[in-house]
Amino acid sequence: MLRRDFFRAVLVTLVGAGLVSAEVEAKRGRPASPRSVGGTRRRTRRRRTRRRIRRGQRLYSLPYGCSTRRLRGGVNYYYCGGIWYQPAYQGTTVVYIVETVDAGASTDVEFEEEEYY
Amino acid sequence: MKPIVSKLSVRLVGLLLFSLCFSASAEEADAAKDILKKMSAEIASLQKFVITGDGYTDARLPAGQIIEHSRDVTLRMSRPDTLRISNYDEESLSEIFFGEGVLSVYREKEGFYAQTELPLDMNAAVDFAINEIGIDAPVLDFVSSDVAGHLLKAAESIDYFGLSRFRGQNHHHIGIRTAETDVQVWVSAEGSPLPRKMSISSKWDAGAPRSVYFFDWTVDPGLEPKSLRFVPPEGSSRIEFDLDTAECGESAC
Repeated sequence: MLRRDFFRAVLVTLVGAGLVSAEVEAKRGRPASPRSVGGTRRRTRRRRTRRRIRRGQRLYSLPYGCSTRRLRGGVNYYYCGGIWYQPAYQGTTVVYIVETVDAGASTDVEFEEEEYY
Repeated sequence: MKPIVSKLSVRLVGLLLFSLCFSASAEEADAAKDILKKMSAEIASLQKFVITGDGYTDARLPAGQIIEHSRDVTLRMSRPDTLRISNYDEESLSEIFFGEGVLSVYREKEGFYAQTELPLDMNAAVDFAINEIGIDAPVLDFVSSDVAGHLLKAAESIDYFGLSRFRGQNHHHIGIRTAETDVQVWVSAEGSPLPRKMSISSKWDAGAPRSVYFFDWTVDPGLEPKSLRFVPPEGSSRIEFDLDTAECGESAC
């Protein structure tokens, strides 16, 4: 009886230790991910899309062809198609806040984007 | 027949085996913490230093492909409160300045700069820049007066993975797990215990994107005060920091 208990205890211990060691190995593991084939080929094409924008929205890029800068109240803006975009920093990234939409201006705006395929 | 071993000794053997497994990992954690503390003390002892680093940050494209964006970064630091970080990515140079209680950010591509007040204490300034302004730069982790405390603040576990060799030197390889990221730091095992490589993996983003940087340290460089002071370049324009990101759009937030 005791011998059976002994073997059971050893078995449980070994399985338990195996689980612990498996976890440690997984943490320390060297996954079989590629290490020598450097770089990936980036294939891109540019395309234009239309999107509806709204006041207060933050954009990572200005609409297609929008480069007119204007100073209003001492603040720098881009003004295109009756819409005022205020550049501002989010961290170290410049975003463009849709600040004002003039009466009658269309909010259906064309953007040029890089498309990856 | 007399039993070979008693029930008590069976349990003791089991307990011993288990405790051996766990004490080994506790020793590893202590070894890793010791190395990080020595690293931290070494960095804190430097009044002026320059870190030049190069590395890459993964980006996952809409089609699922993961690409690496290469970056160069240079930190020039003069304690107690002045630093300049120059970060080159594939598009542009962006610069971050801390000095005289002012944070300045400038991007060459757009020609815009922004400035705001900073706490004078460097640790508080770093917290403010990261949490309030959204500044993110790999070398910012080495600016605090207690780098080990900064790295271990959110740690759930820490491991020592032994020595690892690269760039002709042996390094202590340390892993730190937090709820969001897996961080690895390689600390020089020869000479000054300074961090020479760092890797940060996102645990929950698809593809587990990561950033990896190698660092070279120049201690006690001859830094001119004017090289750490931000002067708006000719033709640049001032804009503000966007602190209200509640309005999130499809293309930016």
